[in-house]
Amino acid sequence: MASTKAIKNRIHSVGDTQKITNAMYLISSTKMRKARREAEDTKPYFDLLRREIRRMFAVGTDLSSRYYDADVDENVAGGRNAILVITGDKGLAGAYNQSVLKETQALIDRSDEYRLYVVGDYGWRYFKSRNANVCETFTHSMHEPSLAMARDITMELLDDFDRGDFDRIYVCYTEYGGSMSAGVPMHDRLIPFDRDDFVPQGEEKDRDASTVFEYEPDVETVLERIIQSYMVGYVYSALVNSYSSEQNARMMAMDSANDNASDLLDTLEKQYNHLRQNAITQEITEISSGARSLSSKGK
Amino acid sequence: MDNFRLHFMASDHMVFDDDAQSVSLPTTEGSIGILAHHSNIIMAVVPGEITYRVANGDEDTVIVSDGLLKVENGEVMILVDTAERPDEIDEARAQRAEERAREELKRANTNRDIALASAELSRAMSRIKYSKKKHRV
Repeated sequence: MASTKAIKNRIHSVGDTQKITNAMYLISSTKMRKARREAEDTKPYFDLLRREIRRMFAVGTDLSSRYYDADVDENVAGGRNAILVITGDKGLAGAYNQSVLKETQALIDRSDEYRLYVVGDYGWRYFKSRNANVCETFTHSMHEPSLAMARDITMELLDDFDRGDFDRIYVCYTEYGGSMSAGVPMHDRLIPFDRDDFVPQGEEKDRDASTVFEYEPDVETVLERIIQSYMVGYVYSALVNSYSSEQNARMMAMDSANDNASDLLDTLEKQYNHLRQNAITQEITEISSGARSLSSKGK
Repeated sequence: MDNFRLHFMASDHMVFDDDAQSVSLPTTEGSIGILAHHSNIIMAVVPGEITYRVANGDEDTVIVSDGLLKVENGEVMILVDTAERPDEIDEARAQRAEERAREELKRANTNRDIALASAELSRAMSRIKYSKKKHRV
């Protein structure tokens, strides 16, 4: 059995590690709260934007453009795809990075041709080391999702799309699934997007139909411009969702690390006490037997 | 002069939500002015300056990016990606430059890259410091 000194050292080092995991837990929870609060602030804007897009689709039912399409069959494999992958910068977040990378790999396997746009250092290093087709000039870290960042990302993607580099843009991200879940990896098609997502329903449909608007110069021009703003919103929400999932996954990983550390400390503490007690008992036995032999000599 | 309700919203904050006398804004069809009792219309806003006169006669100008204008039953709604007051613009740009420099620094591999990126970073940081000082005066 190890010496008491070795166990004492071990207890110290486990205690220090626990301090770190505990701090990481707290940092993650603060980061997540901040990101979610900022995302809440932008919600009313994008809800209104979405509503206006729905209204325009309701007016111009025969509209079509390279950004949106009436019927793209999701099940058809192949095509030239751009894939926007959102990963974290660092590990220590359970299976968070691996699950979204797996999702991306599945999408790559289905494409005839692909190019990756990777957000986050983890994913960047992963795909670089595997010699995947990564867009070199696209460098974004995942330190804190912001609208400005979402705007930059969207514009870079649209530039390449408008140049005709690819036919579709996909986003691979992790949908935030509440505080008890590590999030669900997803892929969504960003462009061309589905008009069916924008069908006005129920009460809103009646109300929208009753007001007539004049469009200057025409619905198509207005829609084309608005849709870019909408995409920025979409990318932003994917960023925030992923970021929240990452922080949440890290919180869960750190929480179980904390628990493990506590268990380990308990066991070590018991071992230490046991050893110490043994040493004391042994010492007493030695002293008392020594005393007895002395006193028996004295008789 | 009649007033109308103006809802002016940027993606991350409300710019103005009150009664206004007039608003002028850049659109795909050129600069237009809107007064009360305008007919229902939807237009695309292009990057430029939006100036609005509030109910008490004060004027205010903000710099905006792409967006949308809607007049519905006398109420005017403006949705834009970004809206910044002229004195905020420099600071916002400097801050973005700082973020970019930090990212470059993270990925820099060679000594030369690192030197370039850190020079860029310190320039951005001094610009931010300067614009904050200017703000306070």
